Amino acid sequence: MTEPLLEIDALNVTYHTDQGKLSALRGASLIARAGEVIGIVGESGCGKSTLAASVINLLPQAAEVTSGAVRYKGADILTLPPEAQRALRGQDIAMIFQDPMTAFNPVLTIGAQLIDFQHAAQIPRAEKLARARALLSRVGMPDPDLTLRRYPHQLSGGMRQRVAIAAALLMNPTILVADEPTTALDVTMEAQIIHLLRDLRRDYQGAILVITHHLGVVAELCDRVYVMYAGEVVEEARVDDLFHAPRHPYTRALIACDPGHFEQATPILPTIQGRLPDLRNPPTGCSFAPRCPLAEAICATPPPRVPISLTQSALCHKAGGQP
Amino acid sequence: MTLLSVQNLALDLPLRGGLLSAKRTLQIFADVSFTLNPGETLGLVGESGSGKTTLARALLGLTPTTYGTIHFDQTKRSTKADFAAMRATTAMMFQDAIASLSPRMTIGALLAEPLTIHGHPAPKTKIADMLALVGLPADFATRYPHELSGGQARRVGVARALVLNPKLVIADEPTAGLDVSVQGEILNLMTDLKTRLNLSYLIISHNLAMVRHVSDRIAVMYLGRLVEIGPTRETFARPLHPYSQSLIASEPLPDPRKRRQDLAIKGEIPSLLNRPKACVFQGRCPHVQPICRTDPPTLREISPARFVRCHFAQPTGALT
Repeated sequence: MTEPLLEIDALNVTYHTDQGKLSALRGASLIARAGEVIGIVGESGCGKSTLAASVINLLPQAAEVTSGAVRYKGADILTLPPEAQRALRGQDIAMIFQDPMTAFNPVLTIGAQLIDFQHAAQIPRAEKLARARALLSRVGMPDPDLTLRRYPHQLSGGMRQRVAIAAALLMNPTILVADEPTTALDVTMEAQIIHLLRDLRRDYQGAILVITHHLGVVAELCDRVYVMYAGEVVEEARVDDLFHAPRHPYTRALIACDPGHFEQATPILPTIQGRLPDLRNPPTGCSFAPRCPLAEAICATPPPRVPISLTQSALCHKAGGQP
Repeated sequence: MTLLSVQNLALDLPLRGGLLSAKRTLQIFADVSFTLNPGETLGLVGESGSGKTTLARALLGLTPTTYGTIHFDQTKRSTKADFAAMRATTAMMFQDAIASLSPRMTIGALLAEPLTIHGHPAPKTKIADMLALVGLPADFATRYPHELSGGQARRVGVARALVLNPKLVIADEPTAGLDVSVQGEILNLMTDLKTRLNLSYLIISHNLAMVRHVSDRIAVMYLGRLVEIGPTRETFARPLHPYSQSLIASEPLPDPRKRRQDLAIKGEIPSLLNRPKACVFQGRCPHVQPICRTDPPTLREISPARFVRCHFAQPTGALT
């Protein structure tokens, strides 16, 4: 197996809020190797966006990394000086945001911004422009020259997301983090962006991290998946195992809830009773136990990370038995 | 007996022209005809900008229309007074649940408001009953909208819609922004109340997987036209309009063994300002023929209960 490009190791992140400290990430670990598309999936408040922001160390001011490391090619980026971190962002690690409107400056043309993004590259302006044009046509923009002269508001949501992907690829990053890349798009545009990302991975040597709440996007796009719940990675698996042999009860419940999963219409949809634990005062035992159909007395103690296979593990007392 | 009958409804909005240019109009939707029976759920699906929300507002008289008729409960509705009377027995669940609740009113006051507007008494017991109906504790009456989670705000939206005992509820994206585990709760609640109170629903959504589970029939809208209407099961099993076909084929499935290999649809929905002449789908249709650029297709019944607006649609799903 190749060396991981990115390794998040037992990361703990706390937000300082008016109501006290909130543990947003509790010992989250993840690795990504070159050529992999990694999915990070979970519902609102599970910590997936905090995990994504920590990869590029763009955590909000109120956040504090209390322990753990984010290693990029072996070096902990959280301990690098700010200038070195800045040099990594955009060059080595690039991000695609959910809302491509706010990712661009509304008063500059797309062309001006795509040139600005290459400020670190020691090449003439004409070359930067040519590279911007080449990437716009790579992401399927019908008229790259016209797009370069456009302002962000003149493009539709789907077109802006394509341009955002082109912008992220400009400096040939090794890690591409896409935070809910299709959530703001309609289903036909979503399909096109999924298709584009899948297409890009063929000639892209780095790793892609896709953060989403949409299981359909995970199934269509990812190789390996991390399922998050209440700030913890509760299951890690290859995509096929995740959907066909999930081991954590939360993963099973999440898949069961997705209405896209039923061939026939069902009058009553499954739900997950109860709610997320309060992360200002996280439970000592399994955080899913109060909502879990399998919960027993032992679940009040911290669950072990049970290895299922070389590529699958689940944070659950009950994951050891038969699926 | 139909509860709601819409015939050839159209809405054109005036566009402010330049100083010398002629006055133009912008067509939001046109030739919209459908019916809704008592106790039935119709799902209206389509992408952003297809005119779904505007149509919903027009059905309740919240937006004027330029052409066509609306019959509700066997009575034609055209004047402001007609629609005001209609709104006493219909209700709307708005898209953004929290934003549709005034932040300065308590949940109790928000639930009493529709009753007061229509001149009914609003006793505390009625408010408590409504909260119980949607599964919220009675002490929620004294809370404010910002204290609610997304799912709770939706429940308040449901309670507010039902407080006047409506016959018809129009729900605009009832689960948008909710997590899947909560989405099921709201849909199950709506289904349960539908049977208990004999409601009819018009559910507007871009979420096909969701609409499929709650609708009896489905209507597909594209750029201001209904392009296909039919029973949900048959329509999903065998969509007849090329747009419905590509829409259903675009939906990402939660199963990596069923990855979509081919891209079902290219391009994107054109701007209303550049509405194609004749067939609205011609620019993206893989089966386009010369006639699609010259003759607008009409919504025709291709097989029993299945209506399609396409020159070439066949009952088999083929396009020739």
